[in-house]
Amino acid sequence: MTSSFLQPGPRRGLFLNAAGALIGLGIAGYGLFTAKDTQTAIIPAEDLALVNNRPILVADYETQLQTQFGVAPGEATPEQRQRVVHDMIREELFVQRGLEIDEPSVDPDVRSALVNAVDQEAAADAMSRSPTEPQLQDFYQRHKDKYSTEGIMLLHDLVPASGATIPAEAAQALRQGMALPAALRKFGLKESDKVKGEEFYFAAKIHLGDALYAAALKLDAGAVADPITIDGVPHLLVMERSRPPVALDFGKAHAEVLGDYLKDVAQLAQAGEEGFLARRATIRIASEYRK
Amino acid sequence: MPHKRNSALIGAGAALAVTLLVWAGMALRDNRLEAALMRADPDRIPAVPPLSQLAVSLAKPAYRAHCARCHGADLQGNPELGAAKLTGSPRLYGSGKVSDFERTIAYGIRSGAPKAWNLADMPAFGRAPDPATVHKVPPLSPSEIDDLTDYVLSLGRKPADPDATLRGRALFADKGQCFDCHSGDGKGDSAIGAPDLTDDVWLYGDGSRDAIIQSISRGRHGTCPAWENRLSPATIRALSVYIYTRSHPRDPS
Repeated sequence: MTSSFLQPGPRRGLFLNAAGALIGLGIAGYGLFTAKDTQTAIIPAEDLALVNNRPILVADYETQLQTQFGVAPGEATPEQRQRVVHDMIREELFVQRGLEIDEPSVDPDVRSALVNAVDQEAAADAMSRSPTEPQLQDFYQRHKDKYSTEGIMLLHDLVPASGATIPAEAAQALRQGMALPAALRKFGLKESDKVKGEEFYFAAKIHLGDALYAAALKLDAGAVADPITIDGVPHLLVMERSRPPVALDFGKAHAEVLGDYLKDVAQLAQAGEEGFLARRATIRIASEYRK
Repeated sequence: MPHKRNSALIGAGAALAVTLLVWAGMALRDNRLEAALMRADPDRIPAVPPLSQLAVSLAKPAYRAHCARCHGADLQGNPELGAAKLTGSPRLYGSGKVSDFERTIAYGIRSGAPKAWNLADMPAFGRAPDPATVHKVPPLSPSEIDDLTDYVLSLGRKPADPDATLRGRALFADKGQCFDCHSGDGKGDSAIGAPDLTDDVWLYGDGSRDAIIQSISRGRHGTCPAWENRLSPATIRALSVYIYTRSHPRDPS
């Protein structure tokens, strides 16, 4: 038998052909029945159900159990499980029907939900590609000015307590070291109360307004500005303390750089998605609406 | 001579056929195990040795490829990036069950995916309010941030100025609205990913005054990608089991 099988002949040819065909069929069958979107009677292990061949994921079912009943899959009662399965199948049926009757074209809520979902999906995809350290370092270098501490100032904004002017000697006296309370009394001044105690630069800008803030920024700690008039009211700025912004090195800004990088990547992906969709589409606009 | 050549050919063919059969058998077995992994109650998998062993073997290369960069090869996290330590407790999100990990890995944290954990965000109290921010919280002054920092230090039983701590406690419960996420006693809320401020586990930094001031002043918005579209459901489940088993080495598994 063995020797005849080793000799070329019709039996050996037939056997080898049959073996080849069987192996080929096996491979083809495996590929056919396990390929994505293949319709079979088998429910893939990651799916809870197939509704018109659309899968309902087990992971979604577990999340739904947690959201709806606050229980983990193992803790859920049969009634809770059934309820969630029923609700998810119902939802899938209604979603499919909604698409069938073209609900997105008539319901503004559905349209806006779809826009949002597609936008978010593009962002989520982009954000799942983790950046490398050199990419983050490069991003940090290109946006270095963003990564600094907030400046802090302790400023006194003095205005006349009664009259309409600030005596010229007031600034000089303060520069020469006169104590603030004494200067307030002597020159009839008071705090404007625009700024209260130590403030971040951004807060001082909001409270003082652009012109006074710009004048304050020029003052070092202990400096007194010349009186300036804004909207008819003279102001005398006295900078008691000032701590300008300090740049954060990469190590300190690492988490923020990563967050900003991902935000940037997500925005780029969303813009790219929009561009791709527009390029792929045939869009014709009536002449009256082109401008 | 031809006889020898034929023997060699048939031998090679037989070896190939056996290899194919073994491969097919193993693939079938793996498929069945993977199916069993997906069909099982995720929280009970660690107690089923064949499934948890399969999960760990599936998860290790995936962890190295996708998770280790932020969370570290040893799962110890990276406080510079705000990547959580994955072993031990406490848990930032959920209660540390396999199903909790699975949700986080699949949908991520502030990942942009619609089902991501995205309920809370640490506002930047020392920066100009961002008009685009959803949660409108008024900024605090530098001295208020200092007071709050003293209060947070006191929650962790670290040295803090008593007067500033009292003022900080009032800010925590009122103007700062910190209680809203971190809860009144500062123990956090794992339903929204608000860290416990009373323990000595820090998501960002080392728990020093400077690190706390930076968190309060500049805010925190850590992210974890959604892997649902990049990893198979079985790999996501395997990763969840792997992380769980690393935290619970004495589990029955």
